[in-house]
This record gives sequence, structure tokens and C-alpha cells, in this order.
Amino acid sequence: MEQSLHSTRFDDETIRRAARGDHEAFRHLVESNQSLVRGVLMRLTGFDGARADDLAQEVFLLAFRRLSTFRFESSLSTWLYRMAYNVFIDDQRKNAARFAGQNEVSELVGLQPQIVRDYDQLDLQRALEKAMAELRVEERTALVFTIIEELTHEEAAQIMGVALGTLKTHVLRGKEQLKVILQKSGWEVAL
Amino acid sequence: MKLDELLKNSRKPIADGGFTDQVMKRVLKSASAAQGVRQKSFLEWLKLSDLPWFEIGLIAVALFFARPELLYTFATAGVRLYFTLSESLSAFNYSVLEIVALALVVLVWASDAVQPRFSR
Repeated sequence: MEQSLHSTRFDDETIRRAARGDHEAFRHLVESNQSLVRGVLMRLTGFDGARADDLAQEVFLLAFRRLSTFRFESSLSTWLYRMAYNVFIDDQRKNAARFAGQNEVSELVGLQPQIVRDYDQLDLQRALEKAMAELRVEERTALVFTIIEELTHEEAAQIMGVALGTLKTHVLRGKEQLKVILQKSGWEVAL
Repeated sequence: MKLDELLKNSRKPIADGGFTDQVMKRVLKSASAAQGVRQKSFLEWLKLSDLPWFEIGLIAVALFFARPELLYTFATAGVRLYFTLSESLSAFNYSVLEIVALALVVLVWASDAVQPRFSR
């Protein structure tokens, strides 16, 4: 299986020490992986920084409790991704009512398409973040893991607990949706 | 611009900014809480705090003055009895044990068996 971009962030001995309850080793583990976990949660939550950080704390707390069950069969980053995804999905279910209206934004944007003549990269990134937040959770997650985090399709499917074919469908639909949303906002991107 | 390229460019490292310290605070709190739960559950399992220590003490004093050599036998039998009858005794709020304890104290003090010890 192809190794992910973050697969060698941590050495096995430090993981073992952290699993035995060594707080210094665990601190090192958090420091080395906080950007990865917070980054992925930031994108999954549609760039809600406060929520992403709360969930990231939950992830590391869970990791501390469950590190002794880590079997070194996958990379630590994949293990953390899986935990981050599960924590995010749990939170999403608990707060389903709160996040229910999120996907309606795209239609509002679509009513007044921007005509962009002179844009810069920062505007495009902001539009992309907004568009990502409007995707369905499965599609957004599939794009985050496969394109942004550069995991293999197999790894992403494993983390999300879906079949490989389903994952590929989510990726394809996510890209198409993203293109449509960006187009409505006046941005032209190629697939 | 290609969508994949755009998405990849959106990834940027996030500075720690005290995040690790916050996590470690919660980790340490959680670890000490877990230890507390373990200690509490061990004591709960022993049920030591539920034992009527005052009454047991009175019985022990009474028995010691009467027949010290029987103290161990009575104490172990008493604890066994307590565990066996604790459910039904709890309905009386341990009043049965209190009465037994006080009665033993009075009996022992009143009995001749005690007198020689004090007269010595």
C-alpha cells in the first residue's frame, strides 16, 4: 500500500513510551501531529476553527486512552485520521439540527453570481473554503483525505468505513459539486 | 486552474499556539481522574467505608476486656456476619449492631470477669 504523506511523523519507540503513560512522550506526539489533526478537522468542519480545535482535543484525549491498543499495522497518522473522522461524525450526529442549514448557502450564493474580473489567489482560496463547507459531509471528507491529505483511496475508504467504489464516487461527485458551487460564485476551475 | 491543484494549495501548517499545553492539561486531569476512579472502585469493592466502625470498635473493646483471646475469633465472625446480614441490617440503620455493642459493653463492665483486671 502506498504510504501517506504523514506516515513517518513519529518513531515507534516514542509511541510505545506514550502508550505506557509517559506524558513527555505523549506531549511530543501531540506537538508533532497537532497540525495534521487540526488541519483535517478544520476542513471537515468547514473551517470552523473553534469547533475543529475542540474536536482535535477530543481526538488526542481519546488517543491517550487508546494508544495501548495501537497495533502498528497502519501508520500513526492514519490511526489519528480515523479517530478524527469518527469524532467529527459523532459530533455531526449529536448536533445534526445545528448544522442542518449549512448546505443551503450555495443556493443563496447562486442567486447573485459574482462576475470576477480581477481576482487574486487569496479570494479564490476563501471561495474554495466556503464551497468546501457547502459540500455533503461524505464528499467533503473524501476530498480532504484523498486530495488535500494525499492518502490513497484505499486508506481513505478504510478511515471512512466505506467500500472503495463508494469512496471514488464521493470523490467524483465532490469535485463536480465543488466546480458547480465555484462557478455559481464566478470562479472557473477545471476538473 | 485545476481543482486538485487548488485543493492541495489550500493545505497549510497550523501553528501550535498553546494547543499542546491545553491538550496536556486535559490529559493530566483525565489521567488523575481515572486513577481516582480506580482507587474509589477498589474501596467500594472492599466496602470498608460502609462498615460500622464505631460499633465494631465498641465490641472489640468489650471483648478485649472480657476475653482477649477470643477477640480474633469474634472479630472475624462479626465481619462475616456483617457481610452476610448487611442487606437486612441496613434496613434497621445498623441499630441492631449498636444495641448489641452497647449491651456487650454494659455486660462486660458489670461482669466479674472485668473486675480483677481493674483491681490489679
